[in-house]
Formats: sequence, C-alpha cells, structure tokens
Amino acid sequence: MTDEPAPNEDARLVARTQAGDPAAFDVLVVKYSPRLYGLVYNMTSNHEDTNDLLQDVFAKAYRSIGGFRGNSAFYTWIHSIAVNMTINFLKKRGRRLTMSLDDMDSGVEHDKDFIEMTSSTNPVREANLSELQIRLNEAMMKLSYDHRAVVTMFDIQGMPHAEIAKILGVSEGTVRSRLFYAHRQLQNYLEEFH
Amino acid sequence: MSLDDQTLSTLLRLKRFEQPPPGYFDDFLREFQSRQRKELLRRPVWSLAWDRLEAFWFHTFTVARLSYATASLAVLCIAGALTFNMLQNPGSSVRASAEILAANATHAPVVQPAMQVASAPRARTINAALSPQIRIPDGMLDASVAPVASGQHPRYILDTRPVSYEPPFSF
Repeated sequence: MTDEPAPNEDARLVARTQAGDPAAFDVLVVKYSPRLYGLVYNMTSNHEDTNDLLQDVFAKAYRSIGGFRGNSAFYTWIHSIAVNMTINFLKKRGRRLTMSLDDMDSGVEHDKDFIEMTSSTNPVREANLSELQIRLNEAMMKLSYDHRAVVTMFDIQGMPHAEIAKILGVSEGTVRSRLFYAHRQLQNYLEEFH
Repeated sequence: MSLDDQTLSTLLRLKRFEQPPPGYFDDFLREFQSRQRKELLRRPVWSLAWDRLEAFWFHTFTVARLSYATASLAVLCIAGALTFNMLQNPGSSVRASAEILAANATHAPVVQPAMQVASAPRARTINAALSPQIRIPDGMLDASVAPVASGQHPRYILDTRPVSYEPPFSF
C-alpha cells in the first residue's frame, strides 16, 4: 500500500489540467480515488459521507489546481486537501459510528495478516476477530481527529512518517508522538473490552 | 488479554480491506463529472452572462474589438494631453480675461448715472445725440457708427423693412 505514484506523470497531468484539459484531471481522479477513499472512509466510518466528501475533495482540487505551483507532489497536495476537509467535516458532524466488518473486501481472506490472525495458534482468534474489529473501529472513533488521521495514514495506508508530516504540515517528531499516544489509547480501549 | 503493538498494527492493517461496493469507482468519475456540470449551472447569473458576453465579444468581433480598442486609446491620449496642458498652465484663460478687464477699466468713460443704462452701441449713438456731454472712448465705437453732428437730425436705421414693403404673395 506504499506504492507512491510517479511524480513526473502526475506533474504532466497537472500541467495539462492547468492548460485547460479536463480529461487529464479525470485520469488523476481515477488514479487517486481508491487511495483517498480509504483515507476518508477510515476517518468518517460512513460510506455515504465518504462519497460526498470525496466528490467535494476532487471538486475543490479542480477549482484550486490553477494555483498549484508544484512545490510539493500532487499526491501530497491532494491528501492535504482530503485530510483538512475530512477533519472540518467531522468537527461539524460530531460523533457517529456506522462501520461494519461486513464492508470488508473479499480479498481480506488472502491477506497474510488475516491468515495469521485467524490461525489456530493466535489467541486473537478465540476472542472473535469480527467483534474485535468492531471494537477497534469504535476505539478509532474515540480518538481525536488529528490522532485518527495519523493512525489511518500510517497503520492502515502504510504511509511513511515523512510523508504524513508533509501532508499534515507538522514535524516527523509530532507524527511519531501522535502515533505513540494513539496506539496507547487504542490499546486501553480494547483492554477495557476484554 | 492485552494487545501488544504488533497485534494492534495487524488489526489496523486489516482495515484497508474495508472497501466500497463493487463498481463504486467506475461510477465515481461519472458522478464527479455530473456534479461539475451541475455546479456550472449553479453559478451566479452575472458570471454566466459575463462568460457569454466574453465569448461573443472576443470570438465574433475581432476586428471591431481592435478598432474600439484603438479608438478608446486615442480618446484616452487626447484627454491625457488636455489634462497635462491644463495642469502646466493653470488658470491661463482666467488670467487673460482679467487683464482685458483691467485695461478697459483704465479707459473707462465718465458716464452720468442717468445714462448708464445705455450699453449697446446703437443705444449709445442715440443717447449721445440727445446728450452731447457724454465722452465715449474711441475704441468703444465701431466704424459704422459715425458721431452725430450738432444741429443735424438723427438718422435712425431700422433693422428690418416695414411690413408694407413686403411683396404680396397671397392672391
């Protein structure tokens, strides 16, 4: 999940969009919508909200792309827009939890983490993985928006600390600190469950 | 059971498999394009009107646009030159008028109060005949009006011919 897109290709597509070619921006939408979906969905826990937000994110990016000077990668820029818009949305919406493990993609059965977690030797298996996952989602929603964003980008999307720092506009030390604190909080919530 | 960091990270990584319904990303772009078109229609009226005017102006009348631009530039240049002249010689016309008035004041006639109503040249001629003590500067009288000699009858000049001199055109 750490496969970063080629910046040169993005730069060409951005330049074409800035020159008035909307088809070039369509390519960027197709390219980044799955990755941004994961980011927004894991912060909002709601598919409809994620869909609306994602549409707004790309609409805003399209309106603002004329002012994009290429000081950062398009990848970083669009992620910044997505994170900021999602945090603003969450602040307005308040707390609501509608996530379910039923939403999981069928590909999870082939994932090595899933196989390991459900193996007979793993104690987690006894604790009902499905319920544990639901509790984890609930615990995620109890995190602050900033901590949730860091956990989503690092643990779920597998982004490096440096990239997260650029997207959030903070230092790498701040990212590590937020991660540490968020992990402690999640562990505490899940221990209460057990 | 306590969750160590490794187990927690593994559980979190599994969340990447939470995906939207199948075919979602195929429809996403279409929905995005549809929303963009709707957003265009939701633009304010003045913005749409401006776009249409701009398209009409810049793509239809290229030659006329250049002509208007040249004419506008010329008007601006002339206005600028006039303004510059006025700023360089502020009140020149007012000063000239003041000088003329001052020159006339030095040669002002001594007119009795009763005669000051006579200001038009023709009236001055008539009044001069009736009252010889009026002094009128030479420059104030034009050549066509000759001074009236004493003892001579005044000669009145009528501006128009009498009506009776008009030829009858009605039968």
